[in-house]
Amino acid sequence: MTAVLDGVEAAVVAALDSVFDPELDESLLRLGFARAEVLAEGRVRVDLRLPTYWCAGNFAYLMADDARKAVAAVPGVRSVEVTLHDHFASKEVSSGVGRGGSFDDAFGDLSDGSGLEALRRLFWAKAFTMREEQLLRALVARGHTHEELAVMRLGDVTDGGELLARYVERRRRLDLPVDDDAPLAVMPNGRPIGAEELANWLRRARSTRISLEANTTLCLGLHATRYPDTAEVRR
Amino acid sequence: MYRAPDGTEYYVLDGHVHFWDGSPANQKNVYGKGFIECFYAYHSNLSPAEWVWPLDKFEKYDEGTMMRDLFEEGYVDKAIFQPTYLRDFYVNGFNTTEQDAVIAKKHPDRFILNGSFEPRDGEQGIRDLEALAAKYHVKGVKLYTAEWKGDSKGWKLTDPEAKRLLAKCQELDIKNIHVHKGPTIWPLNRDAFDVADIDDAATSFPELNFIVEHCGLPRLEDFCWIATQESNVYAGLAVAIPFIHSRPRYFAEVISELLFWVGEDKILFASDYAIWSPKWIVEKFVDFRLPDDIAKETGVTLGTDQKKKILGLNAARLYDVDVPVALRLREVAAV
Repeated sequence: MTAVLDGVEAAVVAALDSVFDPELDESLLRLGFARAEVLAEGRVRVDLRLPTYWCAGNFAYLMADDARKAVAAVPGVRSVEVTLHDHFASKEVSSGVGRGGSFDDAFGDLSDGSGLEALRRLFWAKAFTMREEQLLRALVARGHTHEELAVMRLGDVTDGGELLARYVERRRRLDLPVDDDAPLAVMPNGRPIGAEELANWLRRARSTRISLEANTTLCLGLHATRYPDTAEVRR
Repeated sequence: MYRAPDGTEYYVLDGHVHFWDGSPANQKNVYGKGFIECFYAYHSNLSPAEWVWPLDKFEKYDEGTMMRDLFEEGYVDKAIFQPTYLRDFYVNGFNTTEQDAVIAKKHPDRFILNGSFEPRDGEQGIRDLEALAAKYHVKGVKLYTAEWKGDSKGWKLTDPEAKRLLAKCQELDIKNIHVHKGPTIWPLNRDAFDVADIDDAATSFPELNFIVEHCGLPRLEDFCWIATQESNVYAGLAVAIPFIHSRPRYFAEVISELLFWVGEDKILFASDYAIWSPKWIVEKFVDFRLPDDIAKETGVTLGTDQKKKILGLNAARLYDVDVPVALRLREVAAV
């Protein structure tokens, strides 16, 4: 990638950076799983390369479809072609997303017909849980007690930095309130967590975080083994 | 047996080893190629550099190599052969019970031979399991729920046919059910790694032990939660334990979660040979010390007794293996 990007290229890169691997809760661009190339006449080519041949086809479809939509929304982009490489469902995903059809159409009998929204929400909830744990853990490290955390509002978190911003973003995804008056510690369904429940909740949330982080580590390792040249992108 | 530098001796029962043929000559299609190459990426990525094999050796290794890596150099006292059939991907299957049996017969004191069952074969599946039990007296089966078969791209332990086969296992005294949750393709719109069916099966079959390979990863948190509810659910350490070399911090976090939720009596060492070789894993595991902050936060201990249980004593209990008295825990040895 050149040091100076023209407007469209910079916007395409930013669009791709906004697309997340739902399972790992990280940007496709930062993971090194996707790259985009702006061609002539507003055509953009997006190449998706995942850690293994067997990465779940549903997540692959979500990422490919999200990438297509995000890049297509960039002003100046006229068409987007997304290609999933080296994958057992390369053909179904690439052509299904290209047609702009639904997941169920692309996979026919392999889907039970209810689409991908439940899956997406399940992983938003996991990502929410991880980000909440990271924030609350940092607050505990700063000396806040569980009793304090249970009565705190979002607006009470001063100096929350990136951890707070990331947590608020996932609250928004789950349609949970994000105003200053909203309770800080809540379940993925929005129910506030009482002081007496917080230790247990944090213990379980820690497992979610560790699972996601270990999975990310493994996936990045496998990806680097498979595509040594893309390791550069991640650094 | 592994003798640590401090003189402590550990009985080693490797809970998951293979003798496979993933060579191009045996590959039926592109999926067979994709499967062994995926294994090879796991092998290359997490092994220390000096333990990385060339691809052709990894695709098909010989008996002598395996015997040396496991028993002469790898400290393993006994190993459990876990089959992975994959007949849709490989002409002669990837690693069948029959292939394992040839080796196990030659070294009866070294191997425990496990079988498998196939819920999509209907009545024939029941008869096959009965025949396997009669011929090899297996005490365990390895189930790969992500296995493709014709139009089917996977199955669940809660499928009626699978439940019939689990009931048959109970009847035949096949009590150890090793479950490998690979990416189950059907229904493709749902979470491919969901472990909820293990919860259901463990409740329905309390006399069976369910050993979940690679401890439910990448759904560690769901697995841990199930294992706290079900006393007959165990964690196999394949895939998780090789993190000890290149990502020791993550290994510490994962093993701490398992110790906290699942407990030191229900975690089983597994190299998943030939994906990884036991020698370096055993050495590093015995030498491993949890970072202070993780030990403090979780309150768990990973000391000599826990390591002895994980490396061999827990699996020995499940498979009625007679461990030399000197290698048991001191309290137990005194009884």
